[in-house]
Amino acid sequence: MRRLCAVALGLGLAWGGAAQAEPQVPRESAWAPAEGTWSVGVFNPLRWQITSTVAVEAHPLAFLAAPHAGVDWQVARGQGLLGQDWALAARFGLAAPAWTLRFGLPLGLKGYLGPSCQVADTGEDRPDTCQGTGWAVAPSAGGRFTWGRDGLLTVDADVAAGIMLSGDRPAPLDTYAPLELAVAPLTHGWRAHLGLRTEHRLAPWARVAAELDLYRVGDRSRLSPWTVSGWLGADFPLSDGFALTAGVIWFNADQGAIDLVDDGDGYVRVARVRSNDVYPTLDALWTW
Amino acid sequence: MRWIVTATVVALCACEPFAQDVPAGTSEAPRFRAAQIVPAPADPAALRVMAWNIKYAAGRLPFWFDCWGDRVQMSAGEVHAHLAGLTGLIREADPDVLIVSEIELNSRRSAYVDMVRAILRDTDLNYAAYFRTWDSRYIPSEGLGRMDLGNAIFSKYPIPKAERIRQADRTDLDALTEPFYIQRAIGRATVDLGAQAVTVFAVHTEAYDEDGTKQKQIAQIFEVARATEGAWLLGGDFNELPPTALQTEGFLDERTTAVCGEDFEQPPYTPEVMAPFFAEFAAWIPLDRFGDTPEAQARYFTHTVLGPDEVNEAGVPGDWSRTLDYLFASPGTGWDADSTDVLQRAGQRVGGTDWTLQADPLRLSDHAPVFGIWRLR
Repeated sequence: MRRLCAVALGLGLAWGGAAQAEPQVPRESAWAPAEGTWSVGVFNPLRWQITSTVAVEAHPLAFLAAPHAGVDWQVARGQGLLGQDWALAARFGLAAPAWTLRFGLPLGLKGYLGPSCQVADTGEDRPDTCQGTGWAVAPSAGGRFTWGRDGLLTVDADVAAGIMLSGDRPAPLDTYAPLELAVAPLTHGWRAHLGLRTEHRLAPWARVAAELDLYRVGDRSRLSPWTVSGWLGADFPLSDGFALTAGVIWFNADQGAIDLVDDGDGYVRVARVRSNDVYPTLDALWTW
Repeated sequence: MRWIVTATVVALCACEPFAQDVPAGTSEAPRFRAAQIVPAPADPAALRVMAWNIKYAAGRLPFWFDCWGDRVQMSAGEVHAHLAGLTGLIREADPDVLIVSEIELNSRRSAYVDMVRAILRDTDLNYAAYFRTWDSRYIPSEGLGRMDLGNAIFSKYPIPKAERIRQADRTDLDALTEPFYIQRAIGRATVDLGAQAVTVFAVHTEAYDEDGTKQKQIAQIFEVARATEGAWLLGGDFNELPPTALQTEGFLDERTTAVCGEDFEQPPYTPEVMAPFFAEFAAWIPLDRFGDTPEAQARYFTHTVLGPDEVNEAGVPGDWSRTLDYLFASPGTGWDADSTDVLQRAGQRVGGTDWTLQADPLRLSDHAPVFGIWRLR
């Protein structure tokens, strides 16, 4: 499967290299595209620039499992900060992350990521055995500061909290870092994020970017609440309205892994270790 | 936001695989040692031995696959409380060799508690070998998550060698379930008593297969034991009834209505597959002692899904309902007949001895310990 991913990545790079198109407004920055602009990817969010400073966005696929929406508001921009343009955006969001653990397929993953509580559903008197999930909302707020245009630096910070409206907060999933982070406001109570991104335009048909992110979630698991990730990738605009993006992302997180360490005489002891995972990121982006 | 994108390909490209495959054939198993070694008598002529399925220190919590409840996870406090009960009984029995089924080293459902370390710390047992049978990074079923379960052999005496012998896998699982499923193995450890070494086997066979996997596993266990030279001891949860069992279906702890689907339905037992063990090996309870009445056989039941504080659909409280756990020893060795027993409930006299059991096994696990004094010469 890794080879398949590599092949797909290679094809994406080759296709992008052959294209000659105008650059688009840098993604994941405080800069805003023109009013009325829409963009969407297979995995990237659907985004609508309502005014020159305000945009709304949501992930169409993720919306089915956890309804959510976000607002980006460019609150300030200027020129001449160390010789470069700059912009500052505020970001707000609201999600219903419990959805995915409360409903079975196709709306959610009840019975897979959490208990199905089949005995409780019979109505029998078996108290306190169903570790089901209550309803919750997860508001989020943050800010994004971008310095520069063609070669830019973005600092990103946000925090999200899961507020239980009914029932119990589910236990942390203790699973793969991307999924753990996605549901962390619900399962861990809150999630905070600090990110640093740099992006450079290499040519009209290519922008490269690198990103380093630090995450902290609430202390509801025996595992470490800290996650670090790094991303390296590129956007390849193939036309004014279409681009490919390809990259690779690394996560360092405590997912409960252990090593058995030899004490030197054949006997071993358990040592807890952090997991390192590397995944490809591929997507197609449309803008109109 | 990029992790949302990434989540879709995580399962396909992660560095650590979904599940670790148990090596085919025979492979080395990890051995552990207590921080404090309690001296044991040198060159013993007999060993106190016990085999016990401890249900991953879940006590009597009704986990979802039992179909009497929906629990999927325990808190660390619950696990430590259950372990305190388990180690209390172990200290009371004071075995020289302890064979444990369903022990966990690092599982999410048991709060990542290292149970091998806990037993070494809280009993007089000094050494352990762990035979991993279920090693999955994340099992996407009921939120099980990370799983590191196996069987173990504990001993007061050094364990210089431990091996895991792969058993047959189920062939009746779908392609999505199979990579995440338990892979049974025979645990084999050499226990160094000083003047002699003995071989100890730990087993736990399949419970829910419909394709004869359990029967293949039991046959393999028999052949491996029979081919072993010198003194050996075999114990564990065979998930099979003794050949003279009077009741083979309709147990009081079985549901009459399906709740959990077909995955955890009990397939028909095949008690005849245990006959060769009783015919050729030294059983801790011989078949004639099991008796030929329901009351006599009930005295040696070792398992019930339903705990004493729960009732079945007819309102009957749970109690031991069948015999699934055994101890066997090599021909030429034997048992102190007065010592052997199933430790079923507090207040019972153990075998024909003066020992009155203080702990209450019915509330500590869904299996009762089987105990005896094994005479080596």
